[in-house]
Amino acid sequence: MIYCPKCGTANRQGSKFCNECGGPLPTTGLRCPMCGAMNPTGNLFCDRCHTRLIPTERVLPEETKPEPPSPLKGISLPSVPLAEGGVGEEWLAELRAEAEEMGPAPEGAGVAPLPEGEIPPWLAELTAPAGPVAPKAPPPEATVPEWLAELTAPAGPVAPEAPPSEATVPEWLAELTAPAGPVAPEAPPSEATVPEWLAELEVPAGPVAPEAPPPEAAVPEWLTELEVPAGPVAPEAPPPEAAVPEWLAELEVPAGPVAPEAPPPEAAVPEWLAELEVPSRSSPEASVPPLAGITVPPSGEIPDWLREVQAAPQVQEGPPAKLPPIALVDVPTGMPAVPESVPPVLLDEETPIPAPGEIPDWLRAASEEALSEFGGLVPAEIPEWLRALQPRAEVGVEEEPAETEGFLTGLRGLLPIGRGLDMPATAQPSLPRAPSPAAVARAELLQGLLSRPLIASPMAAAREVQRPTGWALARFLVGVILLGAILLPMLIRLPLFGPPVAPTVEALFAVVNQLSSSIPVLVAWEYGPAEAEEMDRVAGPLIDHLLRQEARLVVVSTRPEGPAVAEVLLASRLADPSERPRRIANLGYMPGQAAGVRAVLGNLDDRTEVSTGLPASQAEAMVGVRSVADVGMVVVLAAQPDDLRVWVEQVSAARPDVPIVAGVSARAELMSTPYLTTGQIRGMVAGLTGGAAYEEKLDTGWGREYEYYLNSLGLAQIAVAALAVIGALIFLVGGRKR
Amino acid sequence: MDRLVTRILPTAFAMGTGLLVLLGYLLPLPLLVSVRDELVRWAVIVAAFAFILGFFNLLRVHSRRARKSGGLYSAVLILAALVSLTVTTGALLVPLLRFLGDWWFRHVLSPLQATVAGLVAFVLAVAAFRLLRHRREAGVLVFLGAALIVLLGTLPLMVPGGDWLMNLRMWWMNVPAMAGMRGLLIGVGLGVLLVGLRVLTGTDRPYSE
Amino acid sequence: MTADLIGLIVGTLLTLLVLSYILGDNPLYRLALHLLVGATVGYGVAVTVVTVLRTVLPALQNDSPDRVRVLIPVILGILLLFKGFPRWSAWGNFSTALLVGVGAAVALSGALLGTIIPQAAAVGSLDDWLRGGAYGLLNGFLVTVGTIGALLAFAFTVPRRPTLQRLWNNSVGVLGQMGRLFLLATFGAAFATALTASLTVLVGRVYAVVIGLQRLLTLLGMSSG
Repeated sequence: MIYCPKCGTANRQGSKFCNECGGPLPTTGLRCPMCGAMNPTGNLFCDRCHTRLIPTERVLPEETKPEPPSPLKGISLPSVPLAEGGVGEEWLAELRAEAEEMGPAPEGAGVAPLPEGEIPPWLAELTAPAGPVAPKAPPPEATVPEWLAELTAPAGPVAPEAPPSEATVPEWLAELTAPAGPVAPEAPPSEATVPEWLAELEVPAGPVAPEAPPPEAAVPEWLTELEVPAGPVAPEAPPPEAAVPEWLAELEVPAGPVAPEAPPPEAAVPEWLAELEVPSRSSPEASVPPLAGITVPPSGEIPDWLREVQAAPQVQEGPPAKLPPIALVDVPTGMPAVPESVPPVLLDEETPIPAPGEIPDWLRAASEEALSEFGGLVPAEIPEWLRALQPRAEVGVEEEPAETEGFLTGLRGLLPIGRGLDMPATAQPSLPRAPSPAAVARAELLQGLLSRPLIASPMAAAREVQRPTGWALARFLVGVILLGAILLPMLIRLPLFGPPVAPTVEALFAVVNQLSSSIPVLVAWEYGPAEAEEMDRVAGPLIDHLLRQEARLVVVSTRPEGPAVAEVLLASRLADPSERPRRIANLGYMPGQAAGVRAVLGNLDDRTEVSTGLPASQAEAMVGVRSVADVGMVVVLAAQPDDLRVWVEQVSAARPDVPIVAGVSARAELMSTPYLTTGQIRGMVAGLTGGAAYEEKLDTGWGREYEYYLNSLGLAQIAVAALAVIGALIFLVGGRKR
Repeated sequence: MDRLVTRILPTAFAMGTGLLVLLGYLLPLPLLVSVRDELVRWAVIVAAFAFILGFFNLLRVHSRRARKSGGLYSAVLILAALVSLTVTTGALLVPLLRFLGDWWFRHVLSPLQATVAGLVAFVLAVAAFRLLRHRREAGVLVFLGAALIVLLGTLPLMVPGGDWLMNLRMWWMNVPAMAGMRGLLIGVGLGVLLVGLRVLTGTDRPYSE
Repeated sequence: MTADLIGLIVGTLLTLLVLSYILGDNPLYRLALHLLVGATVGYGVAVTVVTVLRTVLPALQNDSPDRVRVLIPVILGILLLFKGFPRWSAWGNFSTALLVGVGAAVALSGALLGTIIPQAAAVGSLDDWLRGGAYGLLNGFLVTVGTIGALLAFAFTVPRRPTLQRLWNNSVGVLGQMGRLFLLATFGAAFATALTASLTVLVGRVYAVVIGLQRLLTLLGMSSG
């Protein structure tokens, strides 16, 4: 299948256009937008960097459709809140059904007593029966499961027959109890928000000292009411504060001393605990069914087990002698008895630990047998503070795909993916939080500023207008002055300048004069049409002199335009064109700059003569010339300083004994002076003035043209010097411009 | 394998060829000299292909720009390049077309290049005028003074003291300016030496990824 | 004649297009500049290609040992062209390595043997000092101090220890400051010489335009009259 890169639709292999959006389909492969690697057309993720290649806008048929969220195995807490108004969880429904079907579980039925010595101490301590707590309206024993009945603390006076000994009350719980007097039996019943089982978790307190000092500001009120009062406490339970739920306010420790009952022998397992033992293997409910069928109720719903735990009216008939470990004030009606098959919480070695998500048999049995007796646990109203803790539905949360391999197979959401690590291109944007009013105000201000048209101050605008005009005028004036200085000598003969003087020309003249006839001279023609206006007037007299000396010129250039420029000048300077093949060999262009110079110096044979097209070895002017070692002199005609430097370096390194002379532009004059003083360059002619001086020396008759050029050049130089001085005075006096 | 081909082998190749060429310079043994010359010849041919590569890159860049708004200039550049390439190649290979190449060189290429080079004078003149606009320091005054001496001393002025100015210019070029130039030359040479050594030892690898 | 006339008109027109920069940056100037770049590059490539062909083809045609010697750089050159394609640019690494390695060695050797050694030897030479008497002595001294100072003007690292720092500042620092003066003298001279060269070219172009217009007018006058 080929996936459309635009819309993600799967298309048949071989398709060229998408069936859905009509866009062209990749035929050769998919290029990853992140790393650039090419992937086969069927790939969804990049093989190299795992970036998603196909957009997720459409449901891809070949991808596994996201399954409906299945309950997570082994986790007992609902990951998603239950849907409202419904049961939601199958297992709860099963529990309910079981409870309804089952009758009150016989005493100890299906529950094997724990063997002696196997009850842990902490559990032994929790064996206190309900004690003096008596339910106001205790449900008939038939409807309350025994395990649950044992957990109830009667609202009224607690039967002192079996008060739990002090030793059996855990410290943490004892500290939470206030030894108050008996709680008034007509203590108002808990509100609808207090679950029944929780409302019954109170110690009928004795008289509570009304003048118990209020706690410090840091101590919450609900905690202060759990303190041990100094004196006898008033029988009336103080009205609960607004912040203290009733069920918690009624958590009072009985004032009277707890009867130091001897702790029941360890071997004597309380009924409620005994019924929580592992059932015998013969029990059909012993097997722990998995939680496979359990569904997590939709978000926002209160679990049934929580809803059905209602707050029953509290009835306290007197201060309980002892605080039961987990005491319910009242057993609501309709609560079925715990079936006999409910196994204890404590499991022994024989009992397999239920797998995550599995419902133990005892619980399933309870749901089947006891829920019916419960008549459906009357759902208790959840207090506001507890409602705030309810898990909320996550809107817009994408269902994570289930793991398909490894030990996490089938699980979801454990290792979230696609959050910027492996799929940065398709990471879901996080929901924006609602902006605060301050942020909105700032955004509005910014928008207002941006939408406002740019209005510069009048002064700035005027200055802005002035600046371009002023500088454009200055530029124009400079151009006019320059052009005027150049053109003036053409119109008016100005005897401003004397004959040019160039001391270096003397030395050059002398060196060239020493050349013998027919000696080959390597000429490096390193200028093009851009500099030809000046360099032709520098190279011309030098070429003239060399030709006068009957030298053979071997011309080479590392600039592409060099050979063509050389041809033009050589043609103009050679008196007899027929002598051209014998006198001049133009070997053309040599790429590579310094490497080209090195190659030329090493071997001249493999070149081609430009004008005739013959190999250099066959050119008449190249007889006996194979490399720089065979030439009598190297003449460098360079317009750029770097060209001169490269040639001088390479020739000095290759053949330091071969003399070098230079005809350079005025720009390269400064570069050549260090080489002149070291003797690497024997003579030099630089610039128009040097060329004019050379022409004078040769007496070639090019004077008139040189006169125009020299006058124009001199006048232009004076004009520029004047402009520089005027500008310096203006800015020195006028102040620095920022 | 990828690393071997893209980094290790090219580095070894650059170091090896560079060291052979250097040895050919320093030890004038015939074998080394011939190896050096051969490698330099190879480099020259490869450098020609580098020029061609640069040409193709220029065409590619400007062909992209030509498709956008304001791409007329790029289109003109591409057209001029192709015409110049065709005409010049024809002129060099076919003798009958040489006149065309000469015409193109003399009436199109030369005027354009020469005029642009001459425009530099105008730019430098404006720069000379604005020399003290932003920085008023003693160094700038030394710079300006040197420029004035060299400019005005180029041609002997037919005024009293004109010779003196010319001699001053000559001294300036041969002593302080030459001293500074020599220092710059040695400094540039040292820089080239260091960069070359870095390349030959593989520290700098501008050719590998 | 016609070709020359057309060429004259074209050349003059192109010159005026470029000189319009004096009035400011404008589309005509930019057009001329792009024309220049394109024509120059095209010309250069044409000359390069023909040069390579003229060097390589004869060697490839002959059955000689030169064939292999030419084939290797040609293959390397073709591989270098792959640098223009990012996907296959790695193929050009060897060619680039050859260019860089050989280029570095050639430049290094030339700089060492052709510039550093001779110029450094000239700094220490007494010839400049002894030539020309006192005048020569002063010149020689100035040249030596100027050269060393120009080199030390680029010494920016300073020793850490305070005592050495003080000594450094008093010796190297002072010489460096003097060297900066010499460098400014050099840059001023370089500016002036570059201006001179450009002015020479501008003079030549202006003359060429004037002469061309003159010739054009003459031709038009002759044709009309």
